[in-house]
Amino acid sequence: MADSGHTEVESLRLLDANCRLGPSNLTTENAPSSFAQLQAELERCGISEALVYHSLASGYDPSFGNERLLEEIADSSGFHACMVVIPSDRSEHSELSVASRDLFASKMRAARVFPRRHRVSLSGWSADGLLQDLASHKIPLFIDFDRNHWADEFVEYDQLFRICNTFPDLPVILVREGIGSTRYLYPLLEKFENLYIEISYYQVSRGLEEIAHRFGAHHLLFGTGLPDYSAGPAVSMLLLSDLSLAEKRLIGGDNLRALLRSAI
Amino acid sequence: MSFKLPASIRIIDCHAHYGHYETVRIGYTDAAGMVRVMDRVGVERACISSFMSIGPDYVTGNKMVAEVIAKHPDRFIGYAVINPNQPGKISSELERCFDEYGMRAIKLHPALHRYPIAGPAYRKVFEFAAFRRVPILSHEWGDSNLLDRLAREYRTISFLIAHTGFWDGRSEFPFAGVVNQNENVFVDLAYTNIYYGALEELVKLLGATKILFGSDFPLHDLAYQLGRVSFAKLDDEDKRLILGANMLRILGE
Repeated sequence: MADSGHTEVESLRLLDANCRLGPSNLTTENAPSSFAQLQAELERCGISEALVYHSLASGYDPSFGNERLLEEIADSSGFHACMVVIPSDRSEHSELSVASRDLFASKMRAARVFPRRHRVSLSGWSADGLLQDLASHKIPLFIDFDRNHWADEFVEYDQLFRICNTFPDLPVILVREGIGSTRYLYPLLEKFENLYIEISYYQVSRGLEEIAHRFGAHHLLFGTGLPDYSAGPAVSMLLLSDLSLAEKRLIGGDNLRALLRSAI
Repeated sequence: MSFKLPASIRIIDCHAHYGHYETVRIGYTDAAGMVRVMDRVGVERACISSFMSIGPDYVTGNKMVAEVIAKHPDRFIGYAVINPNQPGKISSELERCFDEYGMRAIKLHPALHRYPIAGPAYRKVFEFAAFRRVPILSHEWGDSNLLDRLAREYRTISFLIAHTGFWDGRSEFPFAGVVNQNENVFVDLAYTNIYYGALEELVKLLGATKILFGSDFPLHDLAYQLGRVSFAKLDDEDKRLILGANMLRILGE
């Protein structure tokens, strides 16, 4: 049964799956890039928790930025750490080259790859060593193709098929998909339970409802794209969607919480 | 500061559509479905053109819109569309759209018609719009100098710049001068990838009286687009103007 449409934001217990700490070359003057600014903006928009990666990990050096991230969020219970990884060369990020217990000791709960920006291949010969490692621990993998506009055609859907098919225990989250992606995504969602869509840019009209009802609300993760993009649109879309409160809560944060808990 | 809009704010979507679009799958394409979404999100009326009109067959598309506004006259306002590649039919189609179908504005799409906004066929449209005193929403207006010349030449036309002129919120807004110098030029917000704080910046540059809420609905999610305004760091009066009062004024209501 659909929610009345008058859900309070707080009742969704929002956990932002797509949030970055630190400035980037795209960050505008007033964007909330510091820890305190980001925390305040999340709070202003009714978001209680965030899975964050660091701009210095994605835009400078993974190990450098991952360590900076842990330092900056050390005293915050609402922030969860997402490690930026380079699939082709694990020497570039020390955390995953050691045992998983060290990963968890360092509070890292998820990994994020940037195939385009970091110029790495997701093909088996390049990425499968890391993907196997992540899959064996069920560590969620966020794949970020640096999409700007919905019509950009550089997401490697064939590789997504291959990864989801080869590693069924690996939760694969595709970041910032847009309105031009549905004809690629639906056949994949039909086949793979381990594929998830982060919704910060997924402004398909009634798109959340369609995925939830055809493939299951467990495939969707709320995200904002902060601090490059405003959080309001994604919050508004989920809040006013024609979904039950239970479905909104799953998408809003409970799906990601379950994934982070399942990592072993 | 709150993102909960006062109930008194009327929301008019100045840039919406109807039907199927070739590039993107739209999950529902019927007027009743659109009304259900509008009710849910709190949008009073949407100004629509058919994707058929800006796509392969403007005559059939205009008829589709006519049927929708006839069935839901209190929820939809029709945009008339012509094909500049068929200049001989422009006047008769516009007369049909306004005199028979009850449309109240004109939508131009130079990109999909692959016809320059400065081309002679559009002159017929401007003459018609000026005489009838109707607004024109165009997907693009070329450079700001051209729009400035048009705005000064046709003072009875309200010129609506779609998609914030494709401004993403980071660079200098290229239409700031022409909007500020001409009372009859406005900016529509229907755009997808706008960086953080862009709307607040736009209000600083232009003032809230020159900005119109538009969504591209049902191509884009209506609530998502509304969230850009409702969550913005603006006061309720600015939001009232942007979300509906400005467009109502343009429509003469």
